[in-house]
Amino acid sequence: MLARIARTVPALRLVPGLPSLFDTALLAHTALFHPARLKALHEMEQIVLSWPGVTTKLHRFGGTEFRLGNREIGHLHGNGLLDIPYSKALRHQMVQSGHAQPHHIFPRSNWISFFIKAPADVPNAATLLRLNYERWLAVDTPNML
Amino acid sequence: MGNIYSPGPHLCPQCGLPLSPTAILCPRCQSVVVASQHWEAPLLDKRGITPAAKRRTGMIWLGVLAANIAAALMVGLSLWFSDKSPAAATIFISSDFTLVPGVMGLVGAFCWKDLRLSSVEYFLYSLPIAAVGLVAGGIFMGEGAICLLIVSPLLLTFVFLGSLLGRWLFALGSKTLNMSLAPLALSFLMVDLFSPHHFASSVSDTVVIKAPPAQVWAHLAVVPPIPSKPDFWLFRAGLPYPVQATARGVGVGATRRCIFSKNSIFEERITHWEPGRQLTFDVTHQPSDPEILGHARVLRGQFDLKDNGDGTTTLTGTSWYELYVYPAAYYDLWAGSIARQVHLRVMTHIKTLSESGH
Repeated sequence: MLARIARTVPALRLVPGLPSLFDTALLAHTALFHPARLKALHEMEQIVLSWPGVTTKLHRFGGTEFRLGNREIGHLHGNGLLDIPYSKALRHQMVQSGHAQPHHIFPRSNWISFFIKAPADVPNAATLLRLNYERWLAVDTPNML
Repeated sequence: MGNIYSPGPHLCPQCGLPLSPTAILCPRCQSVVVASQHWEAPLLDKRGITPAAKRRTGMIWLGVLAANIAAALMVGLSLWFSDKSPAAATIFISSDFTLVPGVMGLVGAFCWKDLRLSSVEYFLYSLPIAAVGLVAGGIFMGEGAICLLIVSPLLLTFVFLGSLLGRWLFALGSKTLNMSLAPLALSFLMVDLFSPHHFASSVSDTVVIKAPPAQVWAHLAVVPPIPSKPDFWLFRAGLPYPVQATARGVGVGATRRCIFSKNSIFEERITHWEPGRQLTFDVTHQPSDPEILGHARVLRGQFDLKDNGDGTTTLTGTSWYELYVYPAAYYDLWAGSIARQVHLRVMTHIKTLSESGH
């Protein structure tokens, strides 16, 4: 539904605050109708928040944005959709291998999407996000790896 | 929370390069290490009764309490200034439902800032904040269950967004920024309080009736009792719904009474009487109970008939109303929806009567 609305009226996401309101409605829907998914979102965020240096903020297009310093490593929408900005090569590799889907709104971009539907999806989702975390960690502190 | 990675040697499966225990992207060949080889699900808190858990629970409830104290102060301030602002004397301004809950969320987030809560937890703990606020609104402001039901999504949304904003702001740790929040919020409240507020709208609905206009007209001024139970969920939840309309006299100046359930009566005066064509009436008095009617006023109603020339008639019902509760964009969705359901209940009954030849 998120993708459908965003594709139908893309300008809506530019209205200040509207994406956050919409994402809150998605989270409320998840809380009411998909409690297992809600638990998965909680677990996912707890994992990511345990990584050194990770902070969160409201994402400009709704959802919780995970940041490492000044870089976004990904964001999680209230319906369980995880969006991650990769490098072109990494995005290609992840999509080709079936680990992730092209971005739900911008399929040709370097972003990927992964839908967390249940707690069983959390390890894979966290791995995908961890990839980006490590990528930026390696850039910022090259001797980490 | 413990280390989320299993310890031990960690080699790239493609090139064999030794990697750090936490690495899952090989820096040499850029290949991705399969998650299952090194990933272990983290051990999450089980909320045991430990001192830390007790402190955490205490801080969460402190946040709920502090948020509602802050809301009480702001609403109290708002009411006190309402007496001094003719523009805000009889209305609930947008700030009451957006800024105040946002501040509630901010205050809650301030109490929770060291607890490392997830967004889901912020959402779940926003629920008791909003619930306490709603109960307080019911007790101290005399709001009824339907009003509270209508306002609850708005309240919860802004409490939650305020708490997420607070989580981010308080993590930045800028005391200057944090200290500027209170005067900023108060400034917004004052601007909203002393700004002029006026919102009027109308809703129209159309029904095609298989009967000539004269036959339909016979059921407009006086609507016989509607026997059916309402389908609309707010009517079933207790909101008064139309059951009958009576009239004294005919023509312009005649009075009409639109009787709703729970003996709620709208007094009306007919201002336009054109048999077979149009009936318009001004609402001269509306019930003050239930309390929801104090937040809106129905100004006028109209039935418009159009002869389709094939033995059928298009009946259009229109209501004009004013809202005294903001943000109008939100409450107009409810007001419009309720007006529409009133129209459809009455017009469907008129259609049934007209088509059965009564």
